[in-house]
Amino acid sequence: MKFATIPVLLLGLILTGVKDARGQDVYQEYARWWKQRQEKKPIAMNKDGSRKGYFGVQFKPKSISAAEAEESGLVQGPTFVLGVSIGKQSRAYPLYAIGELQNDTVGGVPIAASW
Amino acid sequence: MYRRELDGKVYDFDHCGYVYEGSFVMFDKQTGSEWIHVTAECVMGPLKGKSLDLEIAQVITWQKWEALHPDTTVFSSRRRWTERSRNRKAFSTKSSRMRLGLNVVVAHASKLYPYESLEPQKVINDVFQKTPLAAVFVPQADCAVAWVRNVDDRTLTFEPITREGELHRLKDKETGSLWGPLTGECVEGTLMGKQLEPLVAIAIFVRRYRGFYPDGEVFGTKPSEKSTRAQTRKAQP
Repeated sequence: MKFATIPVLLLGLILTGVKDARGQDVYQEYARWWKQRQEKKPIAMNKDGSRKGYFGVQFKPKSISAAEAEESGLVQGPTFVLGVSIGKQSRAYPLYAIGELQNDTVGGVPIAASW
Repeated sequence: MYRRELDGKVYDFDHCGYVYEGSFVMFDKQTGSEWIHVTAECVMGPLKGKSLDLEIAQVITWQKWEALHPDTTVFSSRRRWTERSRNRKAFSTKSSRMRLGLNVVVAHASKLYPYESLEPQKVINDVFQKTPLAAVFVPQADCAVAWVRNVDDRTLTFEPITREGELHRLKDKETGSLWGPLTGECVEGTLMGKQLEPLVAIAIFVRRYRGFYPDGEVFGTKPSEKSTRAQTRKAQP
């Protein structure tokens, strides 16, 4: 219930157009403060001092054979994949599983898989 | 898809946690520079102004990819996918597929071929940045690719050969040879065995295109018909 308090309060401020002592709209003031807070937000760091990344990006991802992938249900006929072929090696990244970005090496070439 | 190598150094990329023009921003672990993922261009940090080399990749159905590359391996994420998310078919409806376009990059310039324009014609013979190219849409694989139309100093013009609604082969008007639309290999005719050179081309959402390539061309529109956003950007100092 407590999670609903802030949105309900904000909605109330928007609808009623409550003004502060200077005659400015309270909601507009809040929106400005939130924007400034977001802009000044420091970059999130890990414990070891490196910059924090998001959304499970991998640096040494595992790859499996086509038969294994089909058997495990990772890919089926109509599944869309991002396919790359470098040298004699080819790799498919199922679109639903790739997330945003993966660091990988295909055919000895370091690549960033993303689309 | 791009090479993580720049001036002999390999970089590792991670997600910044925020988006630009509806698409994510990434940073490299080595210098902390920030990069736009669609254009692979560094916009902030010590490597500002540098660009990564784009790699040729295709968005294609698994069935067709496996047929083209039987020895392919598959990326396997650590995450355990539920049956429901695995069965979720990206672009399962035609209308959702038609929101995509083929972004062809030649000499750091870009041109978009929306699937909406590509699908009825199957092949578009075009010249972009003085490069004669063929943008090809293969409906049975829901995939679009781009090839250079030059073979042995001769420029070819392709026309589609369809069979039961599927794009079976490409036929060049000059010699009448038949080519594989996804492999770019001549399979029949006087040019048999020849291979077309692929171009860097990747699927992109049409609505996102203008945000990243404000000066990019869109097939089927006149160069003057640029978005208002592109015009506003140019006006800014």
